[in-house]
Amino acid sequence: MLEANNISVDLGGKKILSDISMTAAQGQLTAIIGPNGSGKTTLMRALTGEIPFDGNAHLNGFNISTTKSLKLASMRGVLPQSANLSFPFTVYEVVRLGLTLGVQANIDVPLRISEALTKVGLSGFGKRYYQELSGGEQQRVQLARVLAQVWEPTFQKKPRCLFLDEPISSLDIKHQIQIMNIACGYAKSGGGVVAILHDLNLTAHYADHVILINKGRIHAYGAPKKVLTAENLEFVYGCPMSVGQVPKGMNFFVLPEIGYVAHI
Amino acid sequence: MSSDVATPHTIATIEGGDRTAFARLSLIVLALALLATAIFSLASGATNSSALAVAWALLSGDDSAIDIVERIVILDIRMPRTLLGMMIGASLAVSGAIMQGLFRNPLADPGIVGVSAGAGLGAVTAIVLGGTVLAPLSALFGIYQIPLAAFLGGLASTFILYRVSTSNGRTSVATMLLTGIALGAMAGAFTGLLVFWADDQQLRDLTFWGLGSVAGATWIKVAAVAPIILPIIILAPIMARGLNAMTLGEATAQHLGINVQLFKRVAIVAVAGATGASVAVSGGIGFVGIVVPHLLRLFIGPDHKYLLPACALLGAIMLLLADAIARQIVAPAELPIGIVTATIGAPFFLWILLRKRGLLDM
Repeated sequence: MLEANNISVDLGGKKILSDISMTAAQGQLTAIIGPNGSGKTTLMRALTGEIPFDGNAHLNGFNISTTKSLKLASMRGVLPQSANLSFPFTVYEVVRLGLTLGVQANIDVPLRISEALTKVGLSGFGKRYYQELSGGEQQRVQLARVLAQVWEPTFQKKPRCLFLDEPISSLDIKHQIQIMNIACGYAKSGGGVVAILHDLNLTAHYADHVILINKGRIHAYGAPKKVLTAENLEFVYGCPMSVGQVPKGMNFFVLPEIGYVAHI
Repeated sequence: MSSDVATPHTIATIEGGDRTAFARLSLIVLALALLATAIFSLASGATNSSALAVAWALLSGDDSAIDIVERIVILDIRMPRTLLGMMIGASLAVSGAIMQGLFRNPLADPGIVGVSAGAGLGAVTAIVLGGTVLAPLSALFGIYQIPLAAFLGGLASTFILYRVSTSNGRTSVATMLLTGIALGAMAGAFTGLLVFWADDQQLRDLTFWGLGSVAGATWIKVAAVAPIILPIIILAPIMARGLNAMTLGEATAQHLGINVQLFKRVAIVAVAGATGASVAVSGGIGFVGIVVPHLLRLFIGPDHKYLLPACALLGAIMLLLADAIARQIVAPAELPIGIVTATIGAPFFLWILLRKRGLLDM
């Protein structure tokens, strides 16, 4: 679905990304992890066609650097880290922004907006003003907007892709799980998801494919068990890690039962 | 709020928050209000015609109810003035709304951030140098010379403004306002230099032009700016999708399928064209571009699909009303209309600032 080869990015004379080659497959949640400043967001900005880069990247065979924005918009949605709105839009109107670009033909707009808001747990929020919501609610409204844009995980028999930049970083644990379930569901229904994540436990549980980035290069990639090893994580994050056991010096720790609760 | 757990296949409610129906209704109301204001504007002045008689004469073509002097006053003096006022009001409000959308800020207005000053420099250049250095050009462009020069001045300042105040797709409000001050000062300095060089006849022209007025309206002025202003106002709603998407930032607009680079160029040219044309015939009329879009956003919401046509209608209404006040308040003399709009608009601007101080931190 998504294939990138030798991506390098220079910003202001500084090399941010060097020779990144990666793939993200249909039906999978691909997680990009790494410490602050390692180049995760820059990589996502390159993969979504937002900034120029050396190398090449293709989404469903379309070259990301040369394909028109409208064509790309029909194949992928992008959730930014945060979004300020300068004008007093209602929640309904923000979600509708995902629908007004001709990417979707002949759909029932009010129904789609209701479905999208219901999916992110904000049913009934339509007439609230976006600016009056909490940070976490705003984040979920933005996700509803992105979902509305690429509602069906496949389009013309090709997978669509969700690009999520830290989709759960400002959410409480219940909504973190809710959003990860939505992302996973999207992948399982034939789409694809590329997400930048910070929570290593949620990454371990939800990701099908993990890319660990350090200083603008790929340090390790593959199945979560293969990448999330104490050795890899200690090297990249620079602090001691325990994987799959009670950490030394701790009496207890708290984790949600995400492997057990099927739907929250 | 309904439960977080959605049962498949049933959606509890169709969401509220869609202001489309109200916005459409408002457009109809505004259109009727503009018609009424236009008739009122035609009927009021130093000679008093009854508004009804004027309306009847215009609508039926039967002008027996008004005498021949009235006819001349209305057709040759008030009609161009009313039309010019409508076009200028509409273009000021629409260019304000486009600019605010482009800069993602409700405080961006051609008059405040130096675009009008740039357009003014263009107009003054054409007036002062039109007879000498630029004579071949003024012969070539005729009545379009001043609007065209103002457009070029406005285009240059809008372009500089955007380049300086926007980096990585984000616009810094502080930089935008400071750039506007610098541009305004620069354009003012060059304008002053040209005024210094101007001869007596040109000084007379400049003074009348600079008062900010539609008093000198003629059919020639109407003909000079209509081909610039009308297409921009009528075609502006094409930019609505782009302006709406831009509220989320340049990057998200691109993710939503907007060709951001092309869109920005179109928007900048439209702002410069509308501002340039109105500055060329009316000098500086401030604050219409900030008051009208802001009021309308409060009532019908910020969706540019309806905001832009509503701005055109309400901008036209406001300018006709301001012109009527300018004509009545010291009758039979007239105040420059810029004084009226600034007296109402400046406190309004301060009020927005007080309510939205947080925006300056963006």
